[in-house]
Amino acid sequence: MLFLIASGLTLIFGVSRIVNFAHGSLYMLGAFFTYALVPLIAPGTVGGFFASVLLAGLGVAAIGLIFEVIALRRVYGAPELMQLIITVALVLIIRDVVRWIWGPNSLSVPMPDAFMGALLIGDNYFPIFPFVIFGAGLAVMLVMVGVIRFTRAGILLRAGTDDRGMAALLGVNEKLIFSSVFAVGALLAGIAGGLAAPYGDVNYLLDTTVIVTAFIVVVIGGLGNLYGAFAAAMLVGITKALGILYFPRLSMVLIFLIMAAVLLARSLGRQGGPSR
Amino acid sequence: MKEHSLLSVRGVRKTFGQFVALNNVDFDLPAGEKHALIGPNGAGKSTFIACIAGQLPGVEGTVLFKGEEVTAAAPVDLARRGIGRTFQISRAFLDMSAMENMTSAFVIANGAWASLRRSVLANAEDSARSMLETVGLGDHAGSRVADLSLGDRKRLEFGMALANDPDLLLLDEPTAGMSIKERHHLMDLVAARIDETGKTLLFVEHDIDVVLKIATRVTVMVRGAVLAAGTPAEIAENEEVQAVYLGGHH
Amino acid sequence: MNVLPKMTPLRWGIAGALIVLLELVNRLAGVGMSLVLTEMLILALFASSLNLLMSYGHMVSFGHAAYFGLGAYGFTLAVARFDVPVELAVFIGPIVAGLGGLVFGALCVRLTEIYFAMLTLACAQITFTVLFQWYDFTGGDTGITGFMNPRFGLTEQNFMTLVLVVLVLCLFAMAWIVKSPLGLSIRSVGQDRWRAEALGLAPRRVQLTVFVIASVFAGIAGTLFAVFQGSAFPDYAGLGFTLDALIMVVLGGLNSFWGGLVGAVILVQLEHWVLMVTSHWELMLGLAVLVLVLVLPQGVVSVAGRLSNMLGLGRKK
Repeated sequence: MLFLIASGLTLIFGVSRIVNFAHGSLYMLGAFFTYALVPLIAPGTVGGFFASVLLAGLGVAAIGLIFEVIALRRVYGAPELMQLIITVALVLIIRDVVRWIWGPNSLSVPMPDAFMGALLIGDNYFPIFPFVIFGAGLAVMLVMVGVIRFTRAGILLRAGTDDRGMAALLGVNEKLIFSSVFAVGALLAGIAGGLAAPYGDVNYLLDTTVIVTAFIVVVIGGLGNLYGAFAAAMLVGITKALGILYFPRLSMVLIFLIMAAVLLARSLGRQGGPSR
Repeated sequence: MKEHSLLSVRGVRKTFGQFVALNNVDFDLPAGEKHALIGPNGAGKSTFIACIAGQLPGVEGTVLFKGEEVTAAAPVDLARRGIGRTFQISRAFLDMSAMENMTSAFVIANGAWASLRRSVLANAEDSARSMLETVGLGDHAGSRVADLSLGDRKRLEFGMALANDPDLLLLDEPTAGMSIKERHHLMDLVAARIDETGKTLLFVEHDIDVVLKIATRVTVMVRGAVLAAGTPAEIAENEEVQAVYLGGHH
Repeated sequence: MNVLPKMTPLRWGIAGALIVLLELVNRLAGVGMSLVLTEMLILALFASSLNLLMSYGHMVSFGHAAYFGLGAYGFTLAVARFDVPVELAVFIGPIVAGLGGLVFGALCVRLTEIYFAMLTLACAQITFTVLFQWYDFTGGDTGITGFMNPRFGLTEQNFMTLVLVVLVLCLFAMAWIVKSPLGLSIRSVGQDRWRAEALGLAPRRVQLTVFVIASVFAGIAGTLFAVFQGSAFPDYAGLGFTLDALIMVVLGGLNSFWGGLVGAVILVQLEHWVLMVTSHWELMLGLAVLVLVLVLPQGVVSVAGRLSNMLGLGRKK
């Protein structure tokens, strides 16, 4: 689940070096779109739910793409701060529009009936739905790894990440890559938002909660590192769960401490100046 | 030997992954020398300078400066001990004027970086103004460094490196990218300052004419090791050196 | 470059006139406007403190609100929980913020660029979470209210005047710092830390110094805000305030002494007037930021600078 959000963010950063503050907002949009779509497409069924989520994701991807083309594309050469501020502007816009359309109150998305039950493992019952989300996350991860490993698009992507100048020399269309990566990142965020929608409240404050957590995962995993993001998502998820179990008040603090420790530990390996 | 050397290097080794950039280099630099480091590209000259200047992690061997071990010392510490340096790529503060750059160097040299007093600033500005004159930038005091020519920048940096009156000056390819005329202009200036102050100079240089004109001693490096050392005349005669230069470069 | 505030007699005149104008508006335009102006000035101080960090130290913080919040809570907790007299507590706020800046800053300056920004974000979120969840001490999300007369019991107009005086004093202090040898060191490290290091300047120590200074000024702003509202909420240390400050600095103009100030004026006035027309303030702000960044990447101050050059208000270059 966390991985879905974080992977999109880390992908965008890895390729275009943009810290996308609006990623949480895209996630939120995914949730709201799903909320709107679920009653329309075969309500209550598993298929209807997944179709809604997928459609919502595509909608979010379209919005991300429009935003990239109109605004972000013009500032790739600009200082990082400008790019950041532009994504912050998107955060504000999306938040206000969402509140405008859906109101300030929390909404809830009905869970498909098939996922309502619980599994008996050992002596305890576990609700099914988290497993569904986990499975979906894993599936997306596998698809992405497959794409990156084995397709031409993936090769271009890796070229772009490793050395932008080189990729440009090889005749790779940078603009196309940046746009599509941003759209894919948005798609992942949208799907994540949709999947998680039945899980908790859907409201216009989701964006900040999500973006902070996503940043943590991405930073712990290493900016731009997809596999790192996966491992970090597991780590953060587990820490959060355990933290809530044993010392609920400090669970978030604990996660931030992990992040700080990881950052500092990594900095020790990067000491020393430029070689010339 | 040690007592006479300002800088004494023993068995310095530095690797980047599989690549051995420096392989057990021994090197002695007596005070008062103007010592040139030459060699083909990739010989490890800049790496060697960076090792002495404390800019690289994981350097093996020992570096003694004024008889004290400084192998793992930080650049700040080295600067305070009396090592000044310039960089291969110009690294002045681009968005500040030449005057501000130089003043900053003197503020730091005076140990007054955290001062809030205007008088401290005024003192540093006086020193800076005369140093700018010395390096021939008196007319450019108010220019942004980003607007200065490469030659002017290099002279500015040289002046900044002199601000804390270093005993050893490390210049890494000070004339890279300059015209022949600018080259001689800068290095004449450097040589004159060194002779005047009686300090020590170690510089990396590709232009053999400049080396023969300025240096009192020359060390030739090839593939991370010292090939030969001697006076400029000895080096010019050395057949091994000729072989490397003629064979390796032409 | 107009990084340094160069004050010609003409500019002194303009600055003086603006101060007088503000005070006149404050006295004549009614209580509502006084409240808007007060908030504007407090945010101007907050944004200026961030600007100090960003424009001179080239350190982009994603967590500057932490020190605003620490200032507010330092003051509030001192009054509400330890019965410190209000007159004394106003100094505790900035001190607490400075201490927070010292502790977090010592960690953050070990990193650079985007990693630095991320760690400041983490530190700020830790602060926010502690304020939010430590119910017994900080009151959690219900905050702390009713512990004092808001604005020291001053009228809205008089309090606005007080804030104006504090802001002007703080700006003088910041200008002094920027122009001092310390300011030069801060800019040197901001421009090229390796070069500064080779000259014998320890970059981290300089960065920590400016971090603490910026935290103290943010703490002053936070304390004023707590006095203004007569309350403290965890949101003061939240991401929202950080982003507002970032927007203000960028809107006003990075690499300019006046950037934070101008940005705060734009932001608060825009909010005031937009809200009269439509309730979609965030939407409008987002669009405004988008357009401004795309059209004027140097910020509004750059236009003012160009204009004044054109008009021959002679900034000598």
